Amino acid sequence: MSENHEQTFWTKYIFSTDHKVIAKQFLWLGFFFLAFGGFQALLIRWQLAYPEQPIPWWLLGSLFYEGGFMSPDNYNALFTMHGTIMIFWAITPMIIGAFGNFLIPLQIGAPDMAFPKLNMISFWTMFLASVVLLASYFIPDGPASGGWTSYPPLSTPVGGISGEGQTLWALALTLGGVSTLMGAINYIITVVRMRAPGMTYFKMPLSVWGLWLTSILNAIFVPIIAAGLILLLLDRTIGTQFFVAGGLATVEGGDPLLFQHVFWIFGHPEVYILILPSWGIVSELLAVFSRKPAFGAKVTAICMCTIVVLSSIVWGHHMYTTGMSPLLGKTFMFLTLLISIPSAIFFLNWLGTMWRGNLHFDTPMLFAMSVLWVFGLGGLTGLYNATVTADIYFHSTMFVVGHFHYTMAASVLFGGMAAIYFWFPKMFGKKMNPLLGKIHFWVSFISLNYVFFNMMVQGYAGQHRRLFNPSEYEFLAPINDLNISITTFAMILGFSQLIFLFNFINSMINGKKAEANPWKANTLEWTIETPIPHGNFATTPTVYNGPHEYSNPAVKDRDWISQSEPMPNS
Amino acid sequence: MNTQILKQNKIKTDEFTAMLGMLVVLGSITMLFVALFVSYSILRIQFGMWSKPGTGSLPFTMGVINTIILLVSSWTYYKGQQFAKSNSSYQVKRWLGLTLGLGIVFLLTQLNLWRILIESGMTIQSDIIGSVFYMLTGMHGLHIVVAITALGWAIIRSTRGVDIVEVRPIKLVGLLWHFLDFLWICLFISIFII
Repeated sequence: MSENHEQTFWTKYIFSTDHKVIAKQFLWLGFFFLAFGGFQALLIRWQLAYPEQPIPWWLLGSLFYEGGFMSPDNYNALFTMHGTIMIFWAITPMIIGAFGNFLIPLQIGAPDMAFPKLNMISFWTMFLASVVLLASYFIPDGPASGGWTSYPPLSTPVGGISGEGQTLWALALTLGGVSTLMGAINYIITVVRMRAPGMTYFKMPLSVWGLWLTSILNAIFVPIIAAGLILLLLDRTIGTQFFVAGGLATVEGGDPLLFQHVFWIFGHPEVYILILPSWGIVSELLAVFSRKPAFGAKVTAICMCTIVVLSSIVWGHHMYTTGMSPLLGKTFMFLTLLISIPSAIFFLNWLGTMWRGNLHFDTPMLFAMSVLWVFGLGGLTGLYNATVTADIYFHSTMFVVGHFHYTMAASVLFGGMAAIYFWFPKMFGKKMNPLLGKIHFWVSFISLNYVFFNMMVQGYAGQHRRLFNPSEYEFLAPINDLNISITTFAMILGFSQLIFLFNFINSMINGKKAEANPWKANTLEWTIETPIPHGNFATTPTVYNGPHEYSNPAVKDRDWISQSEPMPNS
Repeated sequence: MNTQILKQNKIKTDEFTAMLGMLVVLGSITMLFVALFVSYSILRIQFGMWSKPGTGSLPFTMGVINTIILLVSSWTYYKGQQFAKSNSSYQVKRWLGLTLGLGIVFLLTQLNLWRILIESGMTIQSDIIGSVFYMLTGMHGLHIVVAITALGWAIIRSTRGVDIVEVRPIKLVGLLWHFLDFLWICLFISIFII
């Protein structure tokens, strides 16, 4: 058991059961795949802008493709793996793996996760999944290329794309799902059972709320995609034909649409799985940097719960063009549009938090505020996609690509960046360079908006997603120049992340030592000296105040009061 | 490193926490099988002429036998758990060992059923009915294998003390065991009866 604390290098850094170490492991894994997936995005952009020209040396073109020219098959593999990696191997480990692990025990006043060993196994299962996924690059015919959704028949061996990459893809995703489930079990139980005395549910910081709700969604819906993946794996390996139909099928009774349903029953909640932690983090950071209590924090939490429920019954809006009955389509449309109500409420709460606040524009705040912008745009364009009549036109166009990058990529990534800049001093005990942080923010923010907004413009003009060579189509000629400028800004966006990487690593090594509570924040993690010892709190804290009690008039000498500090009598 | 802090904060996963964790696991397994069952029902409704696996009454009889085996194993598990409370290490080993044996007998019967069906021409590739049948029973069987392994661990773990039986591992694995028993009954009804 954990009484033996003779720590070797192995138990301290590799097979550690300390949630803070596991958090960092997940963070590095996420960084690696973020860079990998981002690099693939740049290759995709190069192909879209300069389809006839070889990929230049600074994108390592000739290293990957003969003469630097990618084939249509290479291109299919690129966007498939870009989507898969960004969603399941970059954002998931960075936000849920790293910050879920780091924040949940610290912010609720627990010494560690409820099941520390399970936590460690969770990371190493994810590592194994990564190895399987990367292995698919080294087999003949390369990695999966049926799109990140892997719809049959593209993904089935009968009538699908040849090569075993798709099999490894399904296997890696199943393993990743198992890892996510282990994490989810841990997070849920830790929040339910290990809150410090006085830490009621509504005294939990909103970040923990977001991460907790995400875990609940994970525990419910990851098994659903696992079922779909198991059937797909059987189709691919044993020769069943669950998803094969029509002339290609040798056995009657399969149904490719079944996979789409199973995929989106999981897939739609997955969107909220990714964004809920980001919402929580933004809600919390806005309060910290406005020096005001989070406006309507309880309502925000309840709205997030409502969205969790609604998110599980709207998957059909991804499938309006599959010949769905109009009644069903209308039902899904109505349910989907309902989500805008709780979203609008907590969005207003965010504005309410900032309203007449004492705003401090530090880097984490800039990123948190940018989430309001990108999520606002992403959310509003979601209404078009949710509406059957508009969606039938927008389906599978760049409009959808722009929309989901605004929500899933931009909102989640900027929320994650805010979290990294904010909690870096607690994770590593050092300060990050604020100037580099701000440069990183402005360059990323402007270029990201240029890229994804114009993707929506292209989609509105009718450009389909996943086109290998958009310049081949006459009707797209008027917007072809846009492809080049989007690519230029995508390159700026991609390479500006090097500023962040430099800042991150340089601050880790040479950064100024950070004090225990550099942002003057209330939550429990800031009451501990950095580096935080294994076991976190010297004595279990007792919680007296809400998480966002800034500028409370009862506190005379400062504008914050720690959650574990009794409120002075006024 | 401050060992006193470590001692104070040593993670002590209490029984209720562990049970809750197990319940979440079971919830997730439930969702997995819900998805598989829903897929099964959609395929079955669309296919129309769904027939029960195999010909004659043999598979049905073996299904009944397997149902009885699992029901009895749940009962022997319950007996073992009762004895665990009274710290009777010998009886715990006897009853839970019996349960474990019944689990293995279940798997063997199941494999035999598979063999008979394959010999009669119904394989996982032969038609959609076969695909669904082997997939569902296979997934359930895999979970039984996990449960048997877990039960073996629980028996060793709980009876290693000299004259005290640790009830917690038995309780934890018990949840899984009874759950899989229930799952089999759902499977049996939907495959062999309806």
